[in-house]
Amino acid sequence: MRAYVLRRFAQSVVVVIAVVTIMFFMFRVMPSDPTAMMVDRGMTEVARLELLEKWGLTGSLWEQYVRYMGNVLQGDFGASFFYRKPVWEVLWPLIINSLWIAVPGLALSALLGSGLGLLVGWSKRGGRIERGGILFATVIRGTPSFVIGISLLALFSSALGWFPGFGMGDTGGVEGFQRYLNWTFVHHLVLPLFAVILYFLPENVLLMRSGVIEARTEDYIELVRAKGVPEHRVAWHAGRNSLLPLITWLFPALAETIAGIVVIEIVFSWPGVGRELVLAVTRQDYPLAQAAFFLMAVMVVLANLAADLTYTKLDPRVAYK
Amino acid sequence: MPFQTIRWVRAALMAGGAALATTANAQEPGTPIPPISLNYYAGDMGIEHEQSARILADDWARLGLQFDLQPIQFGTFVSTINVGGQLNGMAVPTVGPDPDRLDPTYWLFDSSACGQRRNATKFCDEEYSELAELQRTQTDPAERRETVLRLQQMHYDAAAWWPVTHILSGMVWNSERWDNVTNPAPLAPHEGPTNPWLKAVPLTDDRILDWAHLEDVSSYNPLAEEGAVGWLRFVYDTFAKTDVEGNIVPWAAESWEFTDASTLRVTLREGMTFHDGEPVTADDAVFTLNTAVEIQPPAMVARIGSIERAEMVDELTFDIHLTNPDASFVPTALTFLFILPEHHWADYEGDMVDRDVVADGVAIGSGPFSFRSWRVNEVHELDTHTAHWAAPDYDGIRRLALGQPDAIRAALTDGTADIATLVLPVSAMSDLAMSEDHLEFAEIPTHGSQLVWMNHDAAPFSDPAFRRALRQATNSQRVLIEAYQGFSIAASAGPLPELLSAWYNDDLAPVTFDIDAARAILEDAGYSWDDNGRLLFPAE
Repeated sequence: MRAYVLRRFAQSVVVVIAVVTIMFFMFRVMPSDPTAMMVDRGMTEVARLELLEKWGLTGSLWEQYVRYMGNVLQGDFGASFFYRKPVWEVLWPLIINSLWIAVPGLALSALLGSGLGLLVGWSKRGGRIERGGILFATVIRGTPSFVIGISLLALFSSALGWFPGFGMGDTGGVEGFQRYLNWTFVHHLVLPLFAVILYFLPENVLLMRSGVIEARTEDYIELVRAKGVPEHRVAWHAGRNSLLPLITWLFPALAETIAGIVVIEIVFSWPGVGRELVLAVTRQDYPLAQAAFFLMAVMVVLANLAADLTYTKLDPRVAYK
Repeated sequence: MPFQTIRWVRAALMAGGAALATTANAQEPGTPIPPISLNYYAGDMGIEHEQSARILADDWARLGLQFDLQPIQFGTFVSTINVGGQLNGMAVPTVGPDPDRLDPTYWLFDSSACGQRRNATKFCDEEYSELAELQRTQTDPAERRETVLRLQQMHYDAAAWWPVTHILSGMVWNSERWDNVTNPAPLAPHEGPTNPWLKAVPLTDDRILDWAHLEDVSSYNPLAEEGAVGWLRFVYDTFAKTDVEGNIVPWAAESWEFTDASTLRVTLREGMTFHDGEPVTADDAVFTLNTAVEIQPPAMVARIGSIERAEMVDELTFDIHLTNPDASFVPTALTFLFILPEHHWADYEGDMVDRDVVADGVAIGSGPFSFRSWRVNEVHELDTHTAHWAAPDYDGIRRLALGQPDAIRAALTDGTADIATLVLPVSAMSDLAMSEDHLEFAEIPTHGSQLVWMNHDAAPFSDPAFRRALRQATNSQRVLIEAYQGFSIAASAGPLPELLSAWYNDDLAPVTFDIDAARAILEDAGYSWDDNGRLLFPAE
């Protein structure tokens, strides 16, 4: 087991280094210059070269790469070209904002999805509930997240006026953590959260349904039923044993959620890391964009590692060598 | 590989086959002119750019030309074409109504003189360039005007490049909550002296003006901020402002005069204070200017290039010594330069350009608003600096960074935002105001321009007759109607927008769209057409 953990950890480090490397070169081969806007406003060539040097964009591409990786290994991702602050100073508050919709969104989609999946999986094969459940999951799964977001905005914000359509709270609201602890924040949170829940619901429904369908024909279910246990309790027995694939899916899904909510953050003008990432790319703010991509890569890798390592705990039949 | 080389390599990769299709360097007499690449801003900058390019190409095609339409993302466009010198064929860019572009220098020198970085077309006429350089040093307005008029005639005769339309901007505001919101034309509202942001009067108990924007501000350090200087000028007073007629009017400076060709004496307004209550003195202004000259902040070098040093004369007066006579110094530098409080900056030992003034608690200027708070990519709050001589009759202003146009529409509709400027297409602002009773709309004519550029280094664009024919076949009116739904301004004849009336050459004959006349110009210059109607290079 220890050897396996070490091997997996080493693999994860390699993956992260590969992602950082790809990101580094990808931004530098883009046909745009982060100083261009200033040059267009009249910045001299001397000033431009000074700025490029300050931003670490001088020397050969290899020298820049070595310098960048050296800094990254020391935890220094540089300063944002746009904000002129260390990138993590910019990103941390935005990461927290993103987590407000990502974590509850994923948890609630898992909770609701497993319940719906249990209902669909336990229902009569080919019946209305099953057909309806699959249709619902398929349609939502095939709908782009921006369509979900815009539809929710059109219905609940523009047409009915029940919820605000943008932002994270009142413009002149309280500062610090207190701003998350009031009704206004919750009111603004509802629609983007709902969009995340809807977006991730189908996977949960379908995973749970498959598990339940498989479990319902098992002998132990017959045994439980033969004991005279009420039907809903029998269903729960099947459901509980079908949670394993769903739970293991949740780990990488958390990372995927962070990446996947980019569109939802833009549609709802939610000031999260996803929206900032898009802006950073359009502004050619390499350090900020690279750090945001690094964060996502690390989250995906860690989540997959955690899923692999916890699998043995969740299912004792699984053993790593 | 140095950075410059990397840029060339990746630009070459980007251009790919376009270069093959475009440059007509391989000119063979009597052969068809190869397809011309036509670059324009991709959809992220608005659909009107693609529509304009398609309309123009459609009519130019009637001359027997073929076009290869290539949208380019805005940042890449600026990097490679505006300042990168990589225009292969033609382009239809739009230049914004920046305040310094109210001076002729941007149009006649920066964009048109030999060897200038921003001369994307590479138009080069030695005599023209010498005159363009001369007008920069002519501090006598009458003399300079003569030179500027002559330059426009030369530019017009050469058809170096030309405008398609001029930008009509707009603003929409909540008229049930705010009164006396007046038109700031020709500048963006926050660039002008008072309208509408200082004269607006609240009609309700809500005394905070909420201004909807797409983007955030990058910094409150005026030595560093480059992209949203208008917002920072709420906090940091400039010496002068530009009024609705394009005149430079006093602001923090009460008056100024050239004591000799290279010395400008500036007198500050009496009684000004910084947001911490300390008085504003000539010492602060001299400190700011000399600091800027010493450290050369990249975002400022274009405006301070001709300053040698500043020198205090008395408590409110100082001299700015220029390295050489600079006729555009007042309109471009006095309207941009600001005053830092020396007592908060003199002892700072770090890199001043990188100073985080919010963290250090020194986001302090003398402007009509003082910094209160900033939540990244969300909202900025400024309080009214009541001691300011032009303080508005309300309590503060907020900048809402809403990220996308739909959020701005929603914010205006539900009353979260009180005003929005520039951020939506003008037709969308007009429609919104028509559909919502509480919203009002105003058009803002500006000097921003959509232009036609071509690479003068390559045939057939190196031929003035070919350029004149293209200009004659430029269907500006159709662009105005079809691409801008009428929300645009008809093109001026010469390179300067007609809105710069003090400098505009009225003698230039308007160029009307006329395909037959364009074909006649080509024919006179030796061009002909093959049996398929394709335009051929002159046989000689």
